[in-house]
Amino acid sequence: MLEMTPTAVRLIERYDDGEDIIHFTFEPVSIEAGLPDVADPKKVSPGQFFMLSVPGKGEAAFTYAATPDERGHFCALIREVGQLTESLFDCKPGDILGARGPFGKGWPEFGQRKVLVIAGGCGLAPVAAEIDALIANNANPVVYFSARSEAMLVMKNERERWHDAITLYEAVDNQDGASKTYLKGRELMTNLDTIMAEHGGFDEVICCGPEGMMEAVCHYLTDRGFPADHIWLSLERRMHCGVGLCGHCYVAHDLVCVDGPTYRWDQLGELVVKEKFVQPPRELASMGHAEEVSDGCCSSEGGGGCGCSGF
Amino acid sequence: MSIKTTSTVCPFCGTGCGIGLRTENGQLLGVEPIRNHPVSKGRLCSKGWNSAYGVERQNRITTPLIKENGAFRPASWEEAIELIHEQFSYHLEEHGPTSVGAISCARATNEDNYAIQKFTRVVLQTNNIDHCARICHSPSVAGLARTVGEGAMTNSIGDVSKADVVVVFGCDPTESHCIIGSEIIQAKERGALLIVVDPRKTRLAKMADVHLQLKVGSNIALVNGLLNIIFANGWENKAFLEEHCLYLDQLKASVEEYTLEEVSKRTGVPADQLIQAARIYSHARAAFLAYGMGVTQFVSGTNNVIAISNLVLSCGQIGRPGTGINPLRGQNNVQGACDMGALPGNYPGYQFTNDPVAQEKFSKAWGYQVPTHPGMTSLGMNEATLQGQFHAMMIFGEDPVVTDPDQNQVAKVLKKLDFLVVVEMSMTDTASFADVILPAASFAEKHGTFTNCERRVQRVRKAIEPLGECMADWQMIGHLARRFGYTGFDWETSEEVFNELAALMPIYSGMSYPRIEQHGGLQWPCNAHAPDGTPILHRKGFPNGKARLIPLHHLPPAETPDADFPYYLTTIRLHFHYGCGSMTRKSPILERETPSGLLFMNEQDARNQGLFNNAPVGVRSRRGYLETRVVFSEQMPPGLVSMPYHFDDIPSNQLTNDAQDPVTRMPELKACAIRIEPLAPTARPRSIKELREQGECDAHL
Amino acid sequence: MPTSNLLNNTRGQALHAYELERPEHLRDWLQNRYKVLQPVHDQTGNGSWEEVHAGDVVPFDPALRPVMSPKSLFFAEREQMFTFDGEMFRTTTPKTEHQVLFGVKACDLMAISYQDHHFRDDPYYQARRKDTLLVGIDCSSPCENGFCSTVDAGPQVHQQNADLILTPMPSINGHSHGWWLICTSDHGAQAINGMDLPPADSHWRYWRDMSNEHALADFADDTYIINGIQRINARAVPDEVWDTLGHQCLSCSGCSQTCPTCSCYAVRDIPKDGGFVRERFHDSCLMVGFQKEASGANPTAQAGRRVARYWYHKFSSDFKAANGRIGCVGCGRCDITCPGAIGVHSVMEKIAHA
Repeated sequence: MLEMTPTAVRLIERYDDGEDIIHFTFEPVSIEAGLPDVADPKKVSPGQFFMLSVPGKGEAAFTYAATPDERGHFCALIREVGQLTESLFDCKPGDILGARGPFGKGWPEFGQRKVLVIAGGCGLAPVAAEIDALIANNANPVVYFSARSEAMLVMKNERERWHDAITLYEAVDNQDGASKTYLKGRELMTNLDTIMAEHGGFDEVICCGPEGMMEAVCHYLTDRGFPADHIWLSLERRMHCGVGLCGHCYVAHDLVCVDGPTYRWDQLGELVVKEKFVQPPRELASMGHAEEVSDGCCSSEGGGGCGCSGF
Repeated sequence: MSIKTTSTVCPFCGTGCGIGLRTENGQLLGVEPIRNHPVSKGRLCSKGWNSAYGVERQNRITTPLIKENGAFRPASWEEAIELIHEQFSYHLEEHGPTSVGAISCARATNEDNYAIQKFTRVVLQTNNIDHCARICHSPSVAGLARTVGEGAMTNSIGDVSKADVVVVFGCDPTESHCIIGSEIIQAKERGALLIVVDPRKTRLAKMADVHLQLKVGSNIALVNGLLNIIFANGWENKAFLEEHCLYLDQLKASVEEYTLEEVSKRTGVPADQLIQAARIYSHARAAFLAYGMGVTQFVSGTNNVIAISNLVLSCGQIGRPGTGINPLRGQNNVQGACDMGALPGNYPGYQFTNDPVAQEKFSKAWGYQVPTHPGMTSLGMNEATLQGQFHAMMIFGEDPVVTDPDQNQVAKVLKKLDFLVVVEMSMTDTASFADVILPAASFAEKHGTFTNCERRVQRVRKAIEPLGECMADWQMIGHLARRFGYTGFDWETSEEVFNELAALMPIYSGMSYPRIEQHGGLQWPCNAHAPDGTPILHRKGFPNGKARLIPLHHLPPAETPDADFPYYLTTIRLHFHYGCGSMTRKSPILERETPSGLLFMNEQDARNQGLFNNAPVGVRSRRGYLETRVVFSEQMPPGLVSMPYHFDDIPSNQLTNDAQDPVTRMPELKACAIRIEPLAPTARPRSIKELREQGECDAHL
Repeated sequence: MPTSNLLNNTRGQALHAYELERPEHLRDWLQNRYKVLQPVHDQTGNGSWEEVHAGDVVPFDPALRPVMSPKSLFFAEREQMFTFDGEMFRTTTPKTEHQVLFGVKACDLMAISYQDHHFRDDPYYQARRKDTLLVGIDCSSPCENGFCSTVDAGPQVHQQNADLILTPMPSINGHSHGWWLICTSDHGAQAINGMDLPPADSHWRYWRDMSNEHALADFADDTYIINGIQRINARAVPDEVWDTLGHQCLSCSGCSQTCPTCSCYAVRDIPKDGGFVRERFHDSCLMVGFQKEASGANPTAQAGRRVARYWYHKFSSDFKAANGRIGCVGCGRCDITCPGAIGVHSVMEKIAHA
């Protein structure tokens, strides 16, 4: 039987990490019976997500911005977008919340292959743990990260760490008042051209961000002959169960919570074609973040850019 | 324990659908639609399906509450009644019976409304009693009383299925009266022609054969124009007019000036569409005309109703199956509240309070001399309060702070009252102003009857015990009346109340609980002449002998857009919500359906102001200010924006105008001038509470 | 997979059939050991699944199929999932007892089987389901709006979907001659053990099949449903057609509420005693908020997409791999409850010719 009841976790650390975005760290309240699955490094892999309950306010999906360490500490990057996150933002270290997981499929095992990571906005969260894993594997990934403005360049601490270890490109749409010069976020194609020219020969591409941006990246790559079955994406959908029962996160005949949130582009593309139900036709956004709805990947209550939901 | 299903009536709109309340161990689980119900036939709307959530224990008031030092504390019934007795006695003695009054409730049962008006007239000795029909269909009651004699739907909802033409005037039944909307969709599917008159491109407008997308507030010009076309072509029903109507010549003369060009210009409707609509309606074998608050909520509300009545009568589309002039009434029991005399000028059964014969009748029946001074409407009571002439009020189950026009004014009134009793299920904005709150039982917790908009009196049945110390209004009225020392309020059951009221109302005199149950509801008049009720009014003629055609002229809304306030704002209701939202907003599903923005606007208008979908905006009228988000809507024509009125945190009635229809004092909710002030794209719209705290909600120009 | 003994019964072994004078005899027998629920004519006229106690003189009406399917007896319309007291989360398990659903029609049994699979690992569903014995009843004529024969769900009960099946003996000159009781599972056999019923003679199969053929012949022409299913699977229905249908969807949720195979739910927290309880409740994918995220982003903001989704989920063979069959069992309830005139028959008629 599935376990639908959360485990009590304690909020142990929080800090601002972008506009209306907070970086949270949790630990299990009790480890007497061993680490609970949601906080067990042996059970959690990068790209998976967990369901976080804010007592009395509900539950939503969040990606592991950092997978659990041996003490069971794990992180989420959360943007305030609705009532649930509003309450979460009022929580203080020491407060008790509920968590269950891990859920969904994480990123595949890339070993030492050469990986390009492309992230937009809070879409950095679902790939962050994978970047760390690749670094630990000495796979030497290249990372391209873009956001609406400097203030929205999230995960500052992680990025500082990565700057020392790997090549990290950073881009913003709006350079006004920026402390340094970034790549121009709206010129996604040009920036990718540059990266391809400087590095070239990637085995795999991981991309996470607004759906319009992911679509643009996929078309960019496949147009240049990059095989679709080596492109990996992460989707977000509203979720209530995380285990394939509640029905909310459907894409065609898939449920993102169990069949995703990570998808291979050819497989996802097949779903898109199959159903035509996935999205109304959208203008292919550049790396620019659609003004109208907030940028897809951070938009959800989940804020982690994986199959994160919200209400 | 197993699941038990109780047959009752949906507590939302005036359609009166049948629902089964599913309970287990005294807990409400959910609802099911009643397959054999004469109106709903196994269908429900989203509100109906979610009605069990509205009456849950969470947030319910379950004991009397008394305000002390600005905060409410629980109290016993004895204590609350003692305080009400003391305060009302004081004001009655000090300021006289004109200084007190009651607002009854269109959501409560007939039995409750009857008891409330009886208490007001007998114990408080005043005709100061009103209810929210004032702000939805009082113009229907007044207008139709003058023309055809009865202020209710002339036909039944089921008549839609017998019509070959359906006209929907100033409403969107698929949003507000879903199951009537369903009948219209089904009529359309089987080939009936559909004419929609609405400034918005509503769901039905999109399905219509002819959509007359008129400018806001040009109803009379449009109808007079249609009449002129009909008369000019000789399309009127001459035999019917001859036999049944007065003043045809005057009407003909008065519409002559409404030439095609002039009307097309004033209404914005192309001439060929006007001719087409006039032809279809006048040539129909049976044309069912339904109208809603897009007709009544204007300063010319009563005249709008009369104009439509002129059209219906001229074409003889009345008194037969599939025809009629049919106001779609808002609340589940607004018809019943009117029937019960919860109006200053009417005793139960539309017997007039200024008629000495009726005064005599009710004095005798009730055992006390009834008051003879005229009563005040709710807005009248508000004005008297501000003038220091009105001091104590009881409000049953209504939330005028959210639903009435010019909210800031209403709040001022409630603050100024010396003593306010509110009878409610949960803490509403209005209740927060009360000195005493009495806990009301929900529809699921009491027996009684509701009267739907087709005049069908139906049984409401208790599915669960009242929560805590809640009770039905008629029961608390009994306790209060006894404390005041009056007899005649000692009913043991709702059925006793019903038997008393039926005996006093010629239109209900043939009804009893067993007969209502046996017939699946009875439509009034139900009496010796019509023992099984009256599905269609005016089959043989009109109560006043002949129906009256009344010439009248176009009058623009009291406030029209100008350079400072360039948009018309019209208030609407959303399919998913109802009234002040105090019940529907408790359903997690309905609450989730609420759009994140609440100002519906034509996309081009919005783009012209540099607004994107979901952009935060300030909305300002001459009376108030609030903040919300814009939603692009293809329903809205340029120059017109709309807001739903269900939400206490973004109350559209901050902005609306309380200019009134001179006949009924109906406020003009459907048109006021506003302007839209874009906020910074990343700004979060502030709630009314925040705006009030920051002192920004009053208009400051 | 289900852990319950009842669901793991070996099916498909040689069937035993018995003669039974009246269904009530079986019901009365079962009442000795189980709580028995059957369709009862109630105050609403809808019919409801109510407990019939030993000694109650309630007739069994073989023709009565309640407006609401028995879905919520297992997938409860409101289910408390767990409590939180401020420190600890504690799972709430529904209290159940051995029960019998007596007189379930083929369509509803097929739906229960479909739900059994969907909720195979759901602790709440299984807690309610595992102690339930299903007594099915064959239909001998089509019901209003029903098209179970088209979607392979009836009118005869599929033997793997019930523990016991009641089937009427052929009536001669309008006189009923009683019933056959077919035992299809170990649990069914245990339940009637000791009842001492006379075995049916070997003709029962022939007559049951014959009765089924008669019933099948009475179904209305279903070509448009078959065409519609094909067109959904071929993705041949133009978007504009879905948009037109979507325009008529009033988002009432009635189709999902009455559909015996709809299984979507949402959750909410209800404050209680300093903590809260989480409750799940039935949801509907026709609601615009169903996939709406907190930011307002909504992959299925358009009604046409949601209506398309609903019927795709009911009729596409894309789901066969996971669920073993298509989602629709042909009960026709959605057609009765839909206020937008877009229940299954109208939709299939429209898309079959679109």
